[in-house]
Amino acid sequence: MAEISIRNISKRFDTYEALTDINLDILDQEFMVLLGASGCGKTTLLRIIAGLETASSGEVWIGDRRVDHLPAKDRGISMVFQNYAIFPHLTVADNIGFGLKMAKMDATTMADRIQENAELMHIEQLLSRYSGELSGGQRQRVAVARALAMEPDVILMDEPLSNLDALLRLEMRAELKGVLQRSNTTAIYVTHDQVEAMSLADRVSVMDSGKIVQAADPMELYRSPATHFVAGFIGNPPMNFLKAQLTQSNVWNVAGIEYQGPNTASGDLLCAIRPEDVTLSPTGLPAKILMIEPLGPHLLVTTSIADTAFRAILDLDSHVQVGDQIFLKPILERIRWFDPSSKLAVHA
Amino acid sequence: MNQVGATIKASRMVYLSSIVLLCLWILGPLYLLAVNALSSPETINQFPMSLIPEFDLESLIFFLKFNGMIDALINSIMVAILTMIFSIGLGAPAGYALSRFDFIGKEFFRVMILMTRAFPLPLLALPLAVLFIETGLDDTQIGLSLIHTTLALPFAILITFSLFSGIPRELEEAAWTLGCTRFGAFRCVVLPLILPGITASAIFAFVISWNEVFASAVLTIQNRTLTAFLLQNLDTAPLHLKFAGGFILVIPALIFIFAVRKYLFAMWGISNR
Amino acid sequence: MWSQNKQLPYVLIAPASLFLAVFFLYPFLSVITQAFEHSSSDGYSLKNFQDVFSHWKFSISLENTLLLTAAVVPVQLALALLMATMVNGMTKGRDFVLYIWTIPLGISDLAAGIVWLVIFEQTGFLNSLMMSLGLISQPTPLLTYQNPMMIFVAIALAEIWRATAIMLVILVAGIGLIPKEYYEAASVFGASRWQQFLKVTLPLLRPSLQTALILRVILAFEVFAVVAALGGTLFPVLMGETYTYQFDLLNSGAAAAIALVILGLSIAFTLLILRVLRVPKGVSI
Repeated sequence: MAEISIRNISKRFDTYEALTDINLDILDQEFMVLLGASGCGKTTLLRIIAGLETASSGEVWIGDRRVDHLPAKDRGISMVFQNYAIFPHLTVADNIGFGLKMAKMDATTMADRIQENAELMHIEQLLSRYSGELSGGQRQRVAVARALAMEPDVILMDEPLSNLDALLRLEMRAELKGVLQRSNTTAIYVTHDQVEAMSLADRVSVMDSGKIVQAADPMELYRSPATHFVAGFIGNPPMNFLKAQLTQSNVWNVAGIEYQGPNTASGDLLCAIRPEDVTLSPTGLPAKILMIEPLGPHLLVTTSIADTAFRAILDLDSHVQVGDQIFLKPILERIRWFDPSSKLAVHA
Repeated sequence: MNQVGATIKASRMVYLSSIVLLCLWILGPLYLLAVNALSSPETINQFPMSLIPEFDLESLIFFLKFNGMIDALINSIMVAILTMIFSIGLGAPAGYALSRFDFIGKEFFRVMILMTRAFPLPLLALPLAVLFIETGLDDTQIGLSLIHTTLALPFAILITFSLFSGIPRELEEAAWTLGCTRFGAFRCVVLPLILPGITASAIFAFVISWNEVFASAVLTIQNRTLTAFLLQNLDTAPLHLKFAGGFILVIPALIFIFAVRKYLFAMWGISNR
Repeated sequence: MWSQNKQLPYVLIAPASLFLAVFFLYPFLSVITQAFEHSSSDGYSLKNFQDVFSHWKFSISLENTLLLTAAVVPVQLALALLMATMVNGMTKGRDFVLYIWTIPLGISDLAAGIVWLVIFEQTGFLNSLMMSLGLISQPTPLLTYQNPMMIFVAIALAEIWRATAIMLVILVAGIGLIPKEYYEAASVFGASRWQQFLKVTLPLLRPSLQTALILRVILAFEVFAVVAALGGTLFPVLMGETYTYQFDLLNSGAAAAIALVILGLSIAFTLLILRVLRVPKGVSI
């Protein structure tokens, strides 16, 4: 069983607090993504799980073993690095088999294992090449094959796709998802790309400034973000926020229109609406069009509602022009509310 | 159009001929030395000198047969080899530490290394001569190689520092996740990759020792090195002896610089840091 | 895992540190103390310095050393700059030319002296050349006490030939660090090649110029074997005097005193160069 338990992990570099009291439980064979911007601590957390960094305090458990004092080689983990870390002086075959050689596996089993994993990553024709002769995408496949060949309990991946160009990233993402679903490994994947996170993960832990802000499956993060930060981070283009004033109990005034909302005592809230959750209609939020960007399948329209920027996704055949005064009607069930001071979601 | 073309062509001619001239400036004197070394003693003392060597090995043979010359050659080689081993053996671990770790005293150590290059190092031979007499190291190959190591060690440290810094930490980390111990990762991943560079810096240390004059002259009496031997015989030796000696001094240098030419700029360029 | 074993870095630098403490710090301090100890009295005194300064050879050797440095180093700087710039513009043949130009790096100063002896010796190539040009009718001894100028020229030439490569390598490495975009931007804004050299190359080369100059000047004060080969006792220099005091006259105190003079000169000029060529804080490529 390879479930992972991270308990009260904190990490300090001199005076800089990189991680503060992290608690996370990852299920066996779950695909967990650590998502956040640069500097949020996600890579530090991954390296602590791997054994490449030591936490300042806290415990890491893999299965029923406490591992935080063990070196990387004794934790039953395998890792794919952002820059692939393929050994330049070894062939692809020797790279894939490196860990197997260290484990003193016999030659025949090793050769079979290497072949198997090379075929899995579609690089069996590259086995005798060296890394200098490979493209970025090919090197990335070697890195994954090398990690999988170890048949680890846990596979850790540090932004493995971020150095690939856009099209390749798309292909590799699908391939990785397939490969990892079929293997019986628990996976922890670090990325700053929320599209990657949403498409690959069973669950996503959104991190900010050394803390886990929300850990949930992608749909829940998308539909019910727990904080202002998550709401703005997930989804592209990001969620819009409008100021709302309480008029009566449960009723809030948003840019002149009244909507049903939470029942709270304080007089101010932030009303959050996704760009894709509004439609052009004769009545609704009054918006003045500032810019129109045709994005292929739809229009990204930047408007101003009550002096606040508001982005909307509209159909390609909406006949609108810059400067038009239009009305946007939100899908009522999808409106979310946030407290402007605590930044937490407030439930209606 | 023609005028512009002509000017460009003219300046290009000047550029190219300057390069050729400078190459001849370097190679010319070496050629003349070779001519002399490869001529018989009589030809050397003749006048005027011919520009074409006789390919007569008499001078060289005379040189090698000269009393104590073979011993001096062997001494030079042995001292250089010892210097090579010491400077890499002491310098490589320090270079690795500087490139991989942050520790208190790191800046101080780096500054100290740079400062040693600022000091006229051959002068160290003076007090060390006394120390060596007391400890019995005087006039030994080991004794001299220790001084030469002092000359070569700062280079060795800075060069290996640069070499190790060129190897991403991630390679070692990957090896750790694949079952290597710390030393195992170093042995299996780092070492193969820096071997060419370390070899180059070892050769560089060899050359530094081979060429060194002052300390060798001061510290060796019975077991003279080639440089000490030549220096001490400058006044008395006949011409063909000096020339043959110079020639033998120069040949290894030519080969060595050719062997390490790829690394020269990494090595000396580090002095910028 | 990098921070796991806190002692490891210290263990790794210990051998080198210990070695340098014994073989550098100790003799360094020893030379300093020896310079102030004289056989005629106990305790410290300046007698060694008095002995050395009052000797007629001292002022000559000091003068010679400084003169040689002043004559040779600027020429080498200009030459090295020229060569570095030329090589920077080369594509084909660059490696070959650089190899040839850096050959002198591997040549001992003694060997360099002997190489130029071949040319300047009485029956040497310079005389042969002049004979074939009809300038002289018989070989004239060039390197004698009657021709101090000749000896100086010979030594200067040998030094320029030998040691320019030291500066060249540092400057080439430094020029290589300057991104091409700066030259492109300069030429877009109308700068000629010469202006680009003055306004882009030289300023950005300051750290390398600093290093190259300091290194070369310090080495220039140590000049020894080249002089011995070409001039013998006819051209006294500081390092040569140190050798004579130590080895021939067996006077360690005096040798140490001159050694300190050389050291003092090195430090003084290093500070001077650092000041004149100082790089403003925050300026980097």
